Amino acid sequence: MHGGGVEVEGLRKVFGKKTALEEVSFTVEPGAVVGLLGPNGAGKTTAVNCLSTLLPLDGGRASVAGHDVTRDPAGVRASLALTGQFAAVDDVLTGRQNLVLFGRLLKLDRPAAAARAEELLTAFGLGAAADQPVKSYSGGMRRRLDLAASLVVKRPVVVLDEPTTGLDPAGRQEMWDVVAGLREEGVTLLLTTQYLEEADRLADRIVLIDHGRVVAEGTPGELKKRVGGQVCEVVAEPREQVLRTLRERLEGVEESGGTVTVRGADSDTLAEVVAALREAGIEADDIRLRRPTLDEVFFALTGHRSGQRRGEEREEVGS
Amino acid sequence: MTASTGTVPATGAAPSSEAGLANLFGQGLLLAGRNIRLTSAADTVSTMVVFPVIFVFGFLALFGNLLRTHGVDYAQFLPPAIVVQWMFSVAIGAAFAFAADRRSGMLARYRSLAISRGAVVVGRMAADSLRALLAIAVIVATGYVAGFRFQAGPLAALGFVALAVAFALAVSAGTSALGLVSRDPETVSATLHVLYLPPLMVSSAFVPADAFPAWIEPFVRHQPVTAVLDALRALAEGGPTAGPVLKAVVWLAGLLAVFSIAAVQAFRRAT
Amino acid sequence: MNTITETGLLAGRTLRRFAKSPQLVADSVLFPLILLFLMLLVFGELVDQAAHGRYIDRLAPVIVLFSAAYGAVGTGLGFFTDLRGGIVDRFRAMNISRVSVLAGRITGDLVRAVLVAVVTTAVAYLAGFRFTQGPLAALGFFAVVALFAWIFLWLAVVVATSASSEQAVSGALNTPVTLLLFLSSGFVPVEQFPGWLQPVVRANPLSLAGDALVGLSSGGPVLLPVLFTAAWAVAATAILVPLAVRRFG
Ligand SMILES: Nc1ncnc2c1ncn2[C@@H]1O[C@H](COP(=O)(O)OP(=O)(O)OP(=O)(O)O)[C@@H](O)[C@H]1O
Ligand SMILES: [Mg+2]
Repeated sequence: MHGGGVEVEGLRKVFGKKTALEEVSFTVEPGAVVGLLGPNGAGKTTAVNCLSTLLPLDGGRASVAGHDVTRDPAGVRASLALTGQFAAVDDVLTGRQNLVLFGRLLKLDRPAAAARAEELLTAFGLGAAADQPVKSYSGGMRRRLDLAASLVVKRPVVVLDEPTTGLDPAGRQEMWDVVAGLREEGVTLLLTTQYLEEADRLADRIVLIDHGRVVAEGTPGELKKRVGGQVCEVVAEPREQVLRTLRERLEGVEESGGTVTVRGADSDTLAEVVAALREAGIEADDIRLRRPTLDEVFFALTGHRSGQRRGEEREEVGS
Repeated sequence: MTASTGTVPATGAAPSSEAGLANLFGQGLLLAGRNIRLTSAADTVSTMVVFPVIFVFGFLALFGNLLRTHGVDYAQFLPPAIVVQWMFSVAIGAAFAFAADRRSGMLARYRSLAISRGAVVVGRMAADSLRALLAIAVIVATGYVAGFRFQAGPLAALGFVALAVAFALAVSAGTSALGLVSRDPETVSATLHVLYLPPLMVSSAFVPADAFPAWIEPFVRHQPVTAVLDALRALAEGGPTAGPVLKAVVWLAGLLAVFSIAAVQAFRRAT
Repeated sequence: MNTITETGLLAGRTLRRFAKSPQLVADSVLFPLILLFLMLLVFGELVDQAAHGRYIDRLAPVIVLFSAAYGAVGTGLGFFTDLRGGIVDRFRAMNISRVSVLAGRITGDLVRAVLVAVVTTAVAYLAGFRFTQGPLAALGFFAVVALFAWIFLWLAVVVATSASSEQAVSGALNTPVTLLLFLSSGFVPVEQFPGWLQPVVRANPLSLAGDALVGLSSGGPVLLPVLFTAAWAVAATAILVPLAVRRFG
């Protein structure tokens, strides 16, 4: 057997007046990969922290590999490897020193810790930079070292909090490969993400959370079906006329963020849109099909827009 | 990529593997080593060597004559005060380190590992004790050049060092409680650098209690920093030591108890 | 826009950023005041007994000067952050000249230094500090503070343009400021220092400006200390301003 999964039932977590999690329940079968999908502030990190015994629960129960997080936290820690939201490695130490330290802390003797560090550095493509201080690493390298650090000693359950946020496309791809590798080994994986695409790529099941509550759950296919296919985006003026024209012939036409979108679209929709616009004598600047964004999934599933949109918020400089 | 396949399987260690003194000290020592490797040598030299020397000589130059007119041998009187000042500085360093570990996520990571629950604290205390010892050595050596002497024998001198380190650790417990609720080491450190001044200066550190205005003298005489300074001076100069030392130890035990509760609370919540 | 308008706008920005940061305000106003009361408490009686005249008359001016010099650490850090954060480049892209950026920084912080000095003297008033030489002398008091701040602001700018990290900036500024404070006649009279140190203490700009401030507040020689302070300011201008302009321009 694969050593166990994760069970969360009626989980509740309160910070002062703010309820971060309410009635959160989900299961990760042994060997499965579950994606916890939600926007900023949804409660992903809080859930992960409760599971890895960093935060006490305020209600409900949770267990990892059969160990209850409240009654047997030591058992949980011995079964779970956590990679937190922000790469937690020591900058002034080298990649190798970081890994050896974790090995030694987890009771590998010196040669075993060194051997394991070497193994992981090679497996994660960090061999060349192994003896460089981590501060010279790229974001992607840091993140891989961070993940490697939590795999120094094998655990049946691995928890990854936003493993690819802030990485460039290349770094993201590398991380996805690593996760795919873990999955092939039969490790039970719980990963959080803000990207539907990522959950789609990596997870067997997706748990969608918003404002601390589970709003939907299912396989990526099921969720997408509930959203209904792709989105057709039309950039054309005058806006009012475009809306009117399309609404006469199609369902799910909306205006959002300066463009007109048609939900539940496919290639037939595209042809229909082109035809409709031509008949009305409107020349479109752009018409394209794309996957629904997390925002649109949310809208489709909850009827309201998620609080924040995905994407990095830049700190304002100056005053 | 077969990331976690390896020759070193260590899956699902027994739950009890966190407990025990061997784990506490073994893992604590590993983390102490990490803490020491993390501090830059240049920084340690300037804060724990250069500045204490400047302060000893600076204060002597500034106030030596003034205090002589008051009948105080300042070369003998001052070094314990500078020692106490630097023990505060060690404690502020501990708060800085905890806040930094919180910000970087290292603290959360350590807490999520199957290691002894107290290892992080032991690691911090061990590294801080080492810094404290370095500062004490530097200050006592500098004081020696200026005329400071241990006059009550080697055992009392050892007691001096032990009491100073104990003071550093007790104060560290309090500052750490603050460091552990913050993620901003710079602010914590800047705040503490202002906060420690009143208890240090309004004590018998730099002038004897009787040189204070009468209204505040009782406070000066009975506050814990004065108790520790009195004990340190007794251990350095000889004379009756049991009374002052006992008073200091009681104070430290009380402070440690209160601070530890706060620190443990903060530690349990630190993510 | 011309240079003067730009300077005014940027000086306003510097001041607003200061006023909006409670930590900066606390650090540059509260810390010197705490030091004032603590020094008064700890050494007041001893110095009153040993020297003629009241300790507060001497201590308050020195704390005012210290806070001006100490505030320059904030100037250095702020300017360093601006340089690193690319805001200076942004100003340049907006066609604001570098001279204005520099002048705006210095002007804003000069105004801040004087404002902090006003607050500090007001609080020192509670501890017994008095202006006894008339309103003109009181104005002169703050003019000397500005002259003194001028020296350290330029030093801060030079340090900020050549340092590699924030720690380096605060280290390179904190150390001389602390040393100057210790080796001044502010905390104890010159005569209390060992003989070989006395010339250093006397030549210290903090002692000289301190003498001037004492003269302008509670009475004593004014002309000579003011001239010496001005000499320091001229020397600093001759050395630091070209350096700053070269490194920054
Ligand atoms: N220690 C805390 N104290 C108070 N509020 C908190 C604390 N930690 C989290 N919260 C709040 O709980 C909510 C959930 O936060 P959480 O960090 O779990 O979100 P998240 O889904 O991980 O978001 P992100 O994508 O930004 O990481 C947020 O509103 C957050 O402000
Ligand atoms: Mg999060």
